Amino acid sequence: MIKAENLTKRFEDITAVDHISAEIKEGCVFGLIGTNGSGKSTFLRMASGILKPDEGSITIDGERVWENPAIKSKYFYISDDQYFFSNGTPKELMQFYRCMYPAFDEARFYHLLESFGLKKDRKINTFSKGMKKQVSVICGICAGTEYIFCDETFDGLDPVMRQTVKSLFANDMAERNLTPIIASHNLRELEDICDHIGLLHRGGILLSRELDDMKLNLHKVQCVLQPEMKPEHLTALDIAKTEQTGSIYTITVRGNQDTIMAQMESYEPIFYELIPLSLEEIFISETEVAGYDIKNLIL
Amino acid sequence: MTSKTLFFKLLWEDIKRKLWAAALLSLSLFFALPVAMAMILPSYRPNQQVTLEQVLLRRTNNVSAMLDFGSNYPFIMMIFFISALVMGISTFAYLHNKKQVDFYHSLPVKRNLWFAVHISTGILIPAGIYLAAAAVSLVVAGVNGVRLSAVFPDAVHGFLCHMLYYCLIYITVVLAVIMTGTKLAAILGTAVFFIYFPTVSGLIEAFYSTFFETYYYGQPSIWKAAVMKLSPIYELMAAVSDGVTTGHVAATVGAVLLLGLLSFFLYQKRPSEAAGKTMAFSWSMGTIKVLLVIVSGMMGSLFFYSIRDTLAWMIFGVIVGVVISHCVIEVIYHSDLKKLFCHEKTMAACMAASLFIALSFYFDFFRYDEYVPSESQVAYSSIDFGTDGWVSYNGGYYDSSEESQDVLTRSRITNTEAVFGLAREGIRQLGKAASSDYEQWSNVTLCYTMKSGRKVYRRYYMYLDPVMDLADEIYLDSDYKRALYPGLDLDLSEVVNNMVYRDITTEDVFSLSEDTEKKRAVAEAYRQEYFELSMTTRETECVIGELLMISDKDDQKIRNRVKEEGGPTVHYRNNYWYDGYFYPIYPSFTKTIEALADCGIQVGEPLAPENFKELQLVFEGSFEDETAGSEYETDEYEKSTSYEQEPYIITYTEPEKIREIMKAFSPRNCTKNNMILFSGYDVYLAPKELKISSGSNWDRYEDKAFIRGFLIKNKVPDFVEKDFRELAAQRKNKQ
Repeated sequence: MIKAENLTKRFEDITAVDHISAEIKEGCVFGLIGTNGSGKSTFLRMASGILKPDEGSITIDGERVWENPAIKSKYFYISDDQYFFSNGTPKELMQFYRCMYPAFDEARFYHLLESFGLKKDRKINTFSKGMKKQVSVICGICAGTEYIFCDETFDGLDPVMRQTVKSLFANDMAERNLTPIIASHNLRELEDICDHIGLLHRGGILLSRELDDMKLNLHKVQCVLQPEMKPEHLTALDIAKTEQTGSIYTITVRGNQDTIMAQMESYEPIFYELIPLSLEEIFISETEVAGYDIKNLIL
Repeated sequence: MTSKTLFFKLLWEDIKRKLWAAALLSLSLFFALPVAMAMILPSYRPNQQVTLEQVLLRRTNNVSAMLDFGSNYPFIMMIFFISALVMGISTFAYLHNKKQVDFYHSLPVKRNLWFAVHISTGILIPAGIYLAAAAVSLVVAGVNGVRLSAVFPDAVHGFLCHMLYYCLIYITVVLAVIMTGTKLAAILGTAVFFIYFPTVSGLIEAFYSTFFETYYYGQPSIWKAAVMKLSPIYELMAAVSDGVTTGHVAATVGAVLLLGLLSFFLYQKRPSEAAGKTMAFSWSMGTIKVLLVIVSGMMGSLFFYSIRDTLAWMIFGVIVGVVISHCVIEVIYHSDLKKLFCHEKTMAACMAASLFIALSFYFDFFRYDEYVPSESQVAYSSIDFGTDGWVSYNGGYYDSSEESQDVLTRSRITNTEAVFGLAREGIRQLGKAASSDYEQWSNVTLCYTMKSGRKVYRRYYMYLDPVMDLADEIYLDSDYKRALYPGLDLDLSEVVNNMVYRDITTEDVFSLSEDTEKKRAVAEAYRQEYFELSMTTRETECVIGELLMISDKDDQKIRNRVKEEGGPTVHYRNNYWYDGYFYPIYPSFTKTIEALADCGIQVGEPLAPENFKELQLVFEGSFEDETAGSEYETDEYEKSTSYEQEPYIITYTEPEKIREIMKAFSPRNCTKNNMILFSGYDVYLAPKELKISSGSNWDRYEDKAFIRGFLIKNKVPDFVEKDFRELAAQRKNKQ
């Protein structure tokens, strides 16, 4: 289990990560989403022992990560812009990683390379951005670590490759309890794969919850109210956001489905229906509540 | 996996990443060693003049020179120096790149292991390549007939020294790379580490010598002894020029270890987020900036003061130096031109500090020039009157910066009152040494050894006459003379064994009689008379001959040196290395002259008046303008000298007049005549019989040979003065 307690990191006068506390359980896919500059990458860089926290701690299986090779060998970190040796080939990269990851599966590495259509002796710097990502993912999966930290890893992968990588993750999760921690802006991608979501905003954590719980606790109600009624009159509902198109209101409401339906019934609307929220919509709703301007979001 | 196994695996991986550097270094060393050797060695071939044995000796010497460390073959040192720069920057360059830092630091390897791997790569690559190049070179040498056992020790010594100084430069560069976040900053940081301390040292020396009249450049100081040596470049150059001594090795090993530990410590402390920033540690930014800006301010002040020596320009220099350097550093720190004038308070503080330092020198706030210690503080003093620079102490080495140091080290004067008197007179005369009458002025250097053991040096450019009594008090002290003239402190039997006579005019060397007792009598008489010699006498008597007073040890040193240099094998005592061991004989040394006559030497014989048929006196100047000059001007100098008008020339052929004039004659090129006060008359002596001599006192003009010299002040015969005044009057009347 990865546990962050009161984790803080400052870069001069900027607080990139501000007293974050979170837990990431084994065997699940943890999606780390957040606004630009919310501290996702910084959090991952601290989790992977690159950055030393200014305050608080981050532990993996109860031990601190910083300068702890035994713990660091339990994860593989893929940065958003991974470094490759100049003139290095996938084969050479594998040989390098194999020095430090004793469980590195060489046969699987070559097999996956072949499956992905990547040549083991071709210079990596001649690969496209997506192909480089594929090499990183293959290395990460074959390293045989318990955790894999992916910072915007799906960015640049084509849809087929994304699905392939997701399948690989799912396979390793099932076979050897791999725990992927994925930081991304691409909420649709995360929605398919993540079990647990951590939402970061301005260095702090807004929520950390099971994705299903999150979906069950936030609903979109599309309704046509009685002529004299306005959404403000629906006081029993915990409304997060209201939009109006003609006489149709789209209201984002917190709470479980049954309660919301019962409350809506009590207001006798002309028409209403509950629509499930996408992760993207949850993200927008939660960050709007926290004061984030939707117009500046990059999705 | 054990960290030891991992270390070697990572080391191999890292070496693979640096194959480009290995290739470049291999290429350079291949051409600089085996190829160069293969080209040079066959050029030594036996012929009619050179035997095979001599050829092999030359080849062996050449191979030794090429493989050993030193100035004989500096190319290897240069290659290693450049390699150290390249390897130092490239092995740790990943620290300047965020992608690479994330990559390396996310891997399950401790930072100290990464440091060990990278640092080892940078050392093992050149070591391995050099060993390979040296091995191939030895094969080339062997093929050319060089006995490998003769050159192998030099090759090992060379390898160890090259690697030692490579490590010093390399670890300095690594430290600069670790302390910075960009390559440009690392290069600038390396430059600062290399030249900052020599610059500070030179600057302080320049300030002292520019603003303090009594500053003695040869004094050992912390700026020269310690600060200068903080530069690896200086240390490398010192090792190349002076040879690698045990002291050098110990200091360099210490420096390498210290810098290595510091680099290791900083590497572990270095935050990964420093990649891309100019400086990796925020605490170092202000410190380095202040140190650079203050020095820049001082450099600015000195630069402008050296062009226009006024206070205003000096202050302008401080302002320019501080502002420019501060702005440049801020721009480099922030990589932003808009930050040109940020941290203005630091800039103001640096300006105040630079200004204070510059003004404290300009106005001598600390009264450096007027310093005379209190008697109770001084344990003993030493003095160098600046009149005996010709004396050799260590086998004929002539080093102008150390010449005075030897006298000051060896002499211990307890007559503090006399020394203080000289110092006070020197202070009184400060700023008055404007006279061009060079011979009258002396550079008197004092060294006070305090009871605390501290040594304080002062040098006064002063006219000694007002305190000649005090100077004589010191000079006549036999202990002082023994310290000043090592020849007077030798065992008499040693003196007798090596003693020869040299004529001052012809520079011919004569052996003394074989009779040891007679030679001993010469030595005893000379020693006694030299102890009685005063400074006052030296002002009025010119040297008429010289005696060699050298120890067996120093004699052997010179013989070895002459042999090493392949110098002339003619009479070895004509070699210039012996000059500092030939002690002067003055006309007042009557007992010595008599004792030498007993040994068959007629002192000053070539200058006997009857040897000359003609004596020409030349005076370039005027007799009319008797202008008042400095307080030290004498009657002799009331005749102003001028080289714009035709010189006055009178030729004497009468033996009586020649005899009279010769009493005041001094040959031109005798360094031991340094106390003599000259009158302004040039003398050209034409001998009756033409003797070809290589002596430096001889001049040839067409088919005539002359001995050139001067007339001693206060000894010029009255008729000479009269004749020249009449000549001047005649010339005036004609006009």
